[in-house]
Parts: sequence; C-alpha cells; structure tokens
Amino acid sequence: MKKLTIKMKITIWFTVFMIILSTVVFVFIALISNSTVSQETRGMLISLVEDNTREVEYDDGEVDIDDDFVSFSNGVYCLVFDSTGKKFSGYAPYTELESQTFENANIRSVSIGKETYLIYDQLITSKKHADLWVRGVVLESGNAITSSAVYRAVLIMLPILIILAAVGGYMFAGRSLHPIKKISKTAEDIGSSGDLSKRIDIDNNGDELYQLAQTFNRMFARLEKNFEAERSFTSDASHELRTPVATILAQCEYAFENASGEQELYEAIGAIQKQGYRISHLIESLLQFTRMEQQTEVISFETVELSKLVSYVCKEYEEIGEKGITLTKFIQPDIIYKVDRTLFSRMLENLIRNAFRYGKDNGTITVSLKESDNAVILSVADDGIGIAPDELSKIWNRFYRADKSRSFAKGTGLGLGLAMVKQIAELHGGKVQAESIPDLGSVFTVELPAEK
Amino acid sequence: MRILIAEDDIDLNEIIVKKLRAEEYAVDSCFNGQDALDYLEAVQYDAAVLDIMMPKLDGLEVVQKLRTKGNLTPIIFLTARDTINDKVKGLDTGANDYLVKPFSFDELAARLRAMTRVATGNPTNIYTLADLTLDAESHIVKRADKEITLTAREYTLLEYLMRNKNKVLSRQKIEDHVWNYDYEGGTNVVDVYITYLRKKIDEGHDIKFIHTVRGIGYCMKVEE
Repeated sequence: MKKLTIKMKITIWFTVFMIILSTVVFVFIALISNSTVSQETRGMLISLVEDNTREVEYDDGEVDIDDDFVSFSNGVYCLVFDSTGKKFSGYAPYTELESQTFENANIRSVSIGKETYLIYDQLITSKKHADLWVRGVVLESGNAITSSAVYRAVLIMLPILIILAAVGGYMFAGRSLHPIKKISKTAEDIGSSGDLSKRIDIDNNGDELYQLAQTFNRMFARLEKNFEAERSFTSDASHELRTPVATILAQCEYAFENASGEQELYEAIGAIQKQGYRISHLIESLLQFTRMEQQTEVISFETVELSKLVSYVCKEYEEIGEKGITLTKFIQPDIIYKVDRTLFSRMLENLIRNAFRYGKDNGTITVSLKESDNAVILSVADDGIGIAPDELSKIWNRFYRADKSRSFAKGTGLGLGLAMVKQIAELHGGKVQAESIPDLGSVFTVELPAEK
Repeated sequence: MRILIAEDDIDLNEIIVKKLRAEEYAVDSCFNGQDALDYLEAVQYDAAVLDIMMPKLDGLEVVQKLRTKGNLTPIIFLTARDTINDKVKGLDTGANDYLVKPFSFDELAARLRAMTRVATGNPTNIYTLADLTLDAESHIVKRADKEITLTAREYTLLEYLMRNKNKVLSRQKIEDHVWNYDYEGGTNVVDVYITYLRKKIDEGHDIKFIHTVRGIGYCMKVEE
C-alpha cells in the first residue's frame, strides 16, 4: 500500500468518521422520529375516535351525528358504521379499509399496496338498536419522515457536506502541518552542512509544532555549544602541547649544531627532560579534565562530614609553608553535605594551590566553610598579587593563566585548575565566584545549595 | 642583525634566544605583547619573531598597531595556530611571514634571512663589495678569495655594514643593530670594533672599504 501523507491520513480518517457519524445520527434520528411520529399518529387516531364517539348517538331511533363530529383531521379519517356494516358518515381512502371487520379498542394495521393503514374502532352499544361503530383510519407511513421532502433534501445535502468537509479538512490539515516541512528542511540542512548555527524559523502560534521546533532549536543550540567547546578545547590543548614540543626540538637542534662541550649538551638534555615532564603532566590533566566533563569518570556522591574533609585537606597544606605563607582556617563544625569526596577535595586543593602560587611571601591564606539557611559556602582568600579586573571573567576558562611567563617552584601551571574548580562546583549543583583587587588579594567562593 | 623575540613561554623563549645568539644575531626578548610593542617602537629591529598567543596584547594586535604607525619592521609569526584561516589572518594583518610550531630552526633562520634580504634589496644571501664577500648563511667572509676569521661580534658588525653598504651610518645606529639591550657601554664600543674590522678587512689591501665620515659615523663602500 502506497505510503500516505499524514495530511491524507487525517483527511481520510476524518472523512470516514464523519460519514459514519452522520450516517448513524441520521439513522438514529430517522428511527426515533419514526417511532415518535408513529406514537403520535396512533395517539391522534385514538383521540379522534374517542372524541368523535361522543358526538354519535341514537335520537328517536335515528343515528344522530353531531356537527362537532370530525370526519378528517390530522390525516385521520373517521367513519360511523352500525354493526351490520351500514355506513352513516365519513369516508376512507380505500374501500377495503371500510369493510374491515370491527374490533373494539384495538389498533390494527392493514397493508394496501405499499401503504400501511392503522384502523381503530370504538364500539357504541345500544340497548334498543344496533350497535354503532366509530372507526378511525390513518396512514401509518404517511407521516413518516422518510417520505418527507425535508428528509430527501437532507439525504442529498449530507454527502455534499461531507465532501466539502473533507476538502476543507484536507486544506486545513495541510496548513497546520506545513511547519513540519520547514522543520525537516532545517534539520536536513544542518545534517548535510554540519552548520549547527542554523535554527528552525516558524511563526509563533503556540501550537505543538511550534513547541517542537523550539525544542529542536534548544537542542541545536546545546549541540553547537558543545561542539564549539570541544573544538576550542582541542585547539587549546594542541596549542599547549606544541610549545613544549617546539622547545624540545629547538633544544635538540642546538645540541646538535651549537653546543660546545659536554656541559652545554647536559644542559640541553636537562631542558628537554623538563619539557617531557611538562607534556606528560599536561596529558594527565587533560585526560582527567575530559573524563570529568564527559562524566566517564564515575562520580559517587556520599554524605560526608564536610567540615572534617575541609580541615583534612587544609592540614596537608598547612604544613608545607611554601613562601612562608600561613594557612588559617575558619571552619564551621558539623556541616554535613553530600559530595563526591575525590572531586570536592580536588576542587579545594586547586583553590589552595592557586592561593599559594599567586601569594606573596609571608602572606596569609584563609580557608573558610560555613552554612547558612540556603547555602553551604566555601571560600579561599589570599593576600597575593590579585587579578586585574579585565581578566576576572576569563580566569575560569581552560588554559587561562594570568601571568604565563612566571615559572613556579613546582613547574608551570597549566591553567586548568580553575576550570576544574568551576566544573566540579557545577557538578554539585553549585556556583563559583571570584573577587579580587590587584596587589591586595583575591577571594574565591564556592556556593553549594542547601540540601532539602 | 638585531632581532626581537616575543614569546610568552619562558623555556621556548630561552632556547630561541640562545640559538639565535649562537648564530651571531644580537637578540632581545620579551614575554608579552605590550613589551613587544614598546621594544619595536623604541628600536629599529632588523626582524622580529612574534608569538600570537601572548598576554596583554596578542601578536596580531601588536602587528596591527605597528603597521598603522607606518613601522615596516619585518615580522614573522611563530605560533601554534595552524589553520589556513589563521595564516591568512596573520599575513593580512601585516606580518611578512608565518611559521607554525613546532618548527625547525634551520627554517626559521632561512626565513629570517629571506626577510632581511628583501629589506636590503640583496638578491641572494651573499653580500658583495668589490672583492669582499660575506655569505649570510654560512657566515664565511672572504676577501680576494682568502677566508677571513672574525669573532661573533665582528661578524655581526660587518654583516650590518655590508647590508647597508654605501649608506652613511651613525654610531648610534650601528650600535642599535649590532648590540642588544644587555650591553651597557658607551658608543665607544663601535669605534673599537671598527678598528678590529679594519685590521682584518682593509689592512694589506690598497682599496679600503670602511670609511669614517667625520661628525656622522661610518660608511662601507668602495673608495673613490
């Protein structure tokens, strides 16, 4: 069976339904009205006969039919007979109807040709004279709706209406479904060109297709962002790797061509080794970072005593005392929270290490943890060299280092530290913030929402 | 030749400087774009090697500002950005050449020579003045086919004079192109080294090449 468009399907179903519905309704109405009419007819038959019965009596041995006797009303013919069959008044459409045997108070039907008549007789008894019969005759199918002109007109109109409805329905279905064409076209464009910046553009009329298009647009935006992040990440990463490699190669060339003597060769090899470590360190950090981002690294949240965890991490760094810097803690005790231990520790460590790295000699680092009604706040403050206002928004980017040309005691930083802090905070449903005044110091805050 | 290196990675910066000095260039180095711009505006370098991704000002901004002010210093970008778009952008912003990391030193040196060749209008790497030849690639200097041995500084001085032959050069200018910022002596050093050069180049020959222009400086040309 050939594939049908939704438009066709809708129209066909709709038309079929309409046909069935109208047929059923039509038949139902016909039946009901038939029976109603039938009831009415019988009612009229009986009532006319009964009414007329009062108008017939014997007067001085003569049959007296009052002027109020109605011979024909509402399709009911009324006749008066005596028990011998002699007719005194009235007429019926067919003689057969007049010659039917009498039955008292019983409606019976008589078919004449295609028509059906109802006959109702009422007996008037008389002591002195022959009994009289009042007979009512009415055409049963005469009042039926099925033969009325209205009925026939409707019968003709209905198919026409159905056809019109079908055509109209087809067109309207088409209009409503038109946006689907746009949606599939846009999706196809994106698929073939790989240009994720395209969006589906349809008028806002609030209906389901508009919602669908918006949902798709949001998905495309997210994909675009992810791909862009991925692209810039790999480009940043390769940039970061190229420089140490360039240094290694340059050192090798120097060693081959210009080094005079063992000492210089030794120095060159040392420099190459340093770069080797750097690359290795970079690769490890990148993998770690990627795994965390893609969440292939398993994150396991447990309810921990956060105060103790923070104290523990601080303790490790307190004892290092690099650059003569002191680390003080203001940790509110007994704070319990659900975190991934490893990631949370890493986050805190990164913040503390940064504070050391950018701190001044003999300075102070303050780590504080507190809990308020709606948040748990961790902050690391230092009195180091600070961050310039125009760089403050960039520090959370990957590979961003405020002052790249410094070399630090433990090898150059990679610029991933804060990006990781932000990522970890966000994985816990929180957010990060940094405030700083150049040369005075900085405060890094991680705010985690209170558990419900 | 005096070259400026602007590269924010310390290790790489160090090795490039070291290697270039071994090739007898006078080299200055800095670690960010702002410093690079300052250096380039203060001194006329024979060439500059700039990284693009640097703090403060990036390489593209430095070149843009430089060219807007009419500075024609030959510049080569040395960068990790390797796409066609990057290269086109770098060159169109005003650089003379574009080299991607990791790079071969030989290539960097050859490109530097090419840039300076164009700047001085010399068709090849060999600079000649009558029977004096200087090969900028091999650093071999000969007069009348006899090889002359020079110290690094002497070579750098001679190369500068040869590349600007027939031009009168002030002592200051010579110092600017042959010594880098690390040197703190007075302009006397130029006179001293001219004397050394004269001894090795002109002595024993009838035709002198190195001439004093009273009150101004020196000039390298065929004596009339």
